[in-house]
Amino acid sequence: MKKITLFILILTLIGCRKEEIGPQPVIPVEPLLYYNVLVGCEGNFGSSNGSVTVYDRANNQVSNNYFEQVNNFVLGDVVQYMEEIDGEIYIVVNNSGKIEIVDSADFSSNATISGLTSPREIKKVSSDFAYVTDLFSNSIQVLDLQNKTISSSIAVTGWTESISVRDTIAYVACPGSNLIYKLNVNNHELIDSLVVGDSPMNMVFDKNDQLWVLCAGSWGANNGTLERIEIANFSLQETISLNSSPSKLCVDANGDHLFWIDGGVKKMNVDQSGIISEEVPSNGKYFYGLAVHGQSGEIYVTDAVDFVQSGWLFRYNNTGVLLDSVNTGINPQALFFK
Amino acid sequence: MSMIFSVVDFNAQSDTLKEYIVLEKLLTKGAETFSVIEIDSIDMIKYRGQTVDDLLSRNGAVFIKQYGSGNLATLSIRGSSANQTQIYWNEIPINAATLGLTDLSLLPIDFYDKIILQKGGSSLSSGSGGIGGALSLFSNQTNSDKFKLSAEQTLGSFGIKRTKFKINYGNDKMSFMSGYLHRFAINDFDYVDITTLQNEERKRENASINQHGFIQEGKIKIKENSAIDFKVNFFSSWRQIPSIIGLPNNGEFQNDQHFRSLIGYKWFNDKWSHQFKLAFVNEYMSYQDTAYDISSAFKTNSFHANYKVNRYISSINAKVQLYLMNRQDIAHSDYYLRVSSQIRSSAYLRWEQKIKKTIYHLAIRHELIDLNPNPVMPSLGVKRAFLIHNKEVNSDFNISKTSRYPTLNDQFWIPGGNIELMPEIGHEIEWNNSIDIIKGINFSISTFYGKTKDWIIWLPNSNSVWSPENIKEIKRYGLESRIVMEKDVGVVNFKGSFQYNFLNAVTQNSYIENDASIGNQLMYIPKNQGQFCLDVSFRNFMIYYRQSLMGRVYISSDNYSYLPNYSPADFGLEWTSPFIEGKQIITGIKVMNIFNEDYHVISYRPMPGIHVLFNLKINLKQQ
Repeated sequence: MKKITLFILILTLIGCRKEEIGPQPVIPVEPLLYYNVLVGCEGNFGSSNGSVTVYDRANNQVSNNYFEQVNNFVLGDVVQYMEEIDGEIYIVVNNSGKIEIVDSADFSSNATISGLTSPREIKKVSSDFAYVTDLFSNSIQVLDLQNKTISSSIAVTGWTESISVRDTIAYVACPGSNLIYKLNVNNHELIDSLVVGDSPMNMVFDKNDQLWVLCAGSWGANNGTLERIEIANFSLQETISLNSSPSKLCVDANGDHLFWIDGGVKKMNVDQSGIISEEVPSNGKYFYGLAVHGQSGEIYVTDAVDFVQSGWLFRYNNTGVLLDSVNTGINPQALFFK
Repeated sequence: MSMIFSVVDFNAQSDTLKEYIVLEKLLTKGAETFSVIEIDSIDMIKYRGQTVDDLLSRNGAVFIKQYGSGNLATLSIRGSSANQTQIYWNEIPINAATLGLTDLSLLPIDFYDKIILQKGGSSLSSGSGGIGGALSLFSNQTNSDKFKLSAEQTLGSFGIKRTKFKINYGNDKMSFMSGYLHRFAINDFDYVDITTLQNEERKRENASINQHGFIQEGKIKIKENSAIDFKVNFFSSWRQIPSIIGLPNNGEFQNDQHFRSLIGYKWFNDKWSHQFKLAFVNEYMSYQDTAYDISSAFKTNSFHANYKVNRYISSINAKVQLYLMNRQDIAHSDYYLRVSSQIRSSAYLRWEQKIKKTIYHLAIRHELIDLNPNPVMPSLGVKRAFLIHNKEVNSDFNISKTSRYPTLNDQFWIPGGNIELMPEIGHEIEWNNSIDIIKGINFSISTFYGKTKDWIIWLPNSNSVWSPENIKEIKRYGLESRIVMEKDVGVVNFKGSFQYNFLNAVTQNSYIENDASIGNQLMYIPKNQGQFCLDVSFRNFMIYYRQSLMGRVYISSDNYSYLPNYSPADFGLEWTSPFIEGKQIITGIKVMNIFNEDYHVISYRPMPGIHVLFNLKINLKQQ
């Protein structure tokens, strides 16, 4: 009987349940109380390890997995984009089909908009509405900002990505059909469309109110292009051929210079189009996200390394000198300044 | 599922068939100096009705990466990736030529009666590409019964239903076996949704499987020393793919079909043995995501022609083996520009000699890919038995080099396929020891050290297109130990074993800038793992307990995050009646994950909690 009791005891001990289930951090981190840069980290597709890293650039301090630390639940699968609207930060979580809304001040969760198909970007287009683009839904979702629900959708063809707004017109890049859509934000109706290069991904306005479109190109067929659209007559004015497959077009605060990733970080003066310089060489890194700080002109670049480990955020001054670097979550790509 | 379905009934076989089995052992045996693991046939019986991943996940000698019940499961040996582990079906390589791996959840244990695990360079005797090792599945389910019918039904939790039929028929000259298998499960088990604030309990959705399998085997004796045999497997699987925890159900599902067939001829005398095998393997896979309207499909036809000859030189107690393998893979994929075809030819030559108590071997394998030479793969080993305090210790030492050629996807995938890739190269040394401490207690311990160079990893290239490159160098070393005890107390037989493995598999070099994986353990490779087993047999009853002990695995290459350890256990009770007037009943109950442990093998993919399987089998035999 003693032997049987001992045997049962051993089995019970080795079979006893543990408290931990699922992914755990090796070294838990403390949330930062102050930060001024947010980095949306995609995580790995199908792994629900998307996260937000926050960074205090004055003290070079960083805190990873910030959303989960503050809200005690995971953010989701593939953090795609972040945008501040009316004192709240909207975090687009692509493969989870949702947008998490957090308070801009303390990052606490205010709401979740779920049921989206595969959201990519969000942009406020009027006082009451924001548009949400999508990879698979063949539509642009119209989000009612008051009650935070999808109020309607605008039918389009294929994948929609970047959104830029001027007055009552929204321009939406459609990589799936190589079009730029022109939409009236008052009645959410499609006004016009314009054919551009292969896979238009990002758009920015420069100081001259010219809309610049970065087209990633298509593998094995066409390299990427940088294209300029005159919005007054919605016509293509200029096409600049690029080397390979560029990404992450952004503009400085004054709208003087365009920046994008094409291996390293490239720069072009909008008044001297076609003259492209390399502001930050990649030196073997895989640059994955890019933003230019409005006040300082500092260039923030992220490195995804091998895509299954913590990435890096590098901060360069406006002449390309490295100022500092910090570790982020996995696959950092969406940068946002507070 | 009966013992007869799974295990050859040696006693019932004629002398001639016994000779064939001995011959087959000689033909299929690798180098004597390497230690191989033959999965206990009793263990195979306990996991009948289940798949190879279920069996091996409780084995403790390897790591099985399971994406959930009924879903993709792959094998990792000694820190290797799934496609650095080769799977063989009756000596025919079956890793998909496209992806380079085999889904173990599509391999029902009922189709096999012997499973052999070769670690490291030991796999060279079976083929190339096994940097981590190889898993060989053998089926030899014909016997000399004139007529025997087996029928079995399993019912279990989560809608599990399994139905099997098997018929053996034949005479002294020829024997045949036909079998059918149906597996169905809803897999709607409860799990903890760790993405919610309150860790709510939910039911798994979109996780059903529906699978049909057919097996046909035959053996025809031509003369006393020659025979022809043929084997056919067909397996058709439909399964839903559940989303990861916290994500909406996308209505994903996958169809897999494989058709494997071979015909073999064997001839032997006291000096020579010859074996020819011709095989055809067809694989089809289609995937659909109904929410996003995404689909993909591939189809592969593989033709194999193998010849193995052994020469026994009794005067010097030596054996020479020449093994020629040829295969052509023709693959159709939605992601290839055109139909991809590849011809692989390899020659394996081995010299093995026994001098007193010492055996040594020298071997070399060379492979041509579309007539282009792959690196030469040699191995060298010594085995010796000697006495320590009057106890015999068997010790062997082996050194080997292996290589794996890139898959068709690595080379031809659009976009990103890279035809400039080099093969991955593995080097390994190992030292294995085994000792009978006292009667009924055996202890074995092995150590190994290896490196894998030019590890292929998919990363975005300068055009931002994901493309495979030879990126990393991996260092692997470890210790594998096992103690087995067996004792009879009156009419009760006790058999227990405990196994512990330590494995350090770290990135040593990388071409990636700022790569924090250097010096860290590979993802999803446990440093510590083990197994505890206990079997108690009493007359016609058998009680068994299996528990795997899996240490934490890191889920990022810089080891910043991990999945906690887990130790699920299974318990079973079975009763087997004797044959009475040609009739036999076998019935049992099995409780899986008896402690209802919540665990993930892959993050955010829950494994089922406690569940029960009831089993009833009837054997009818012509007297």
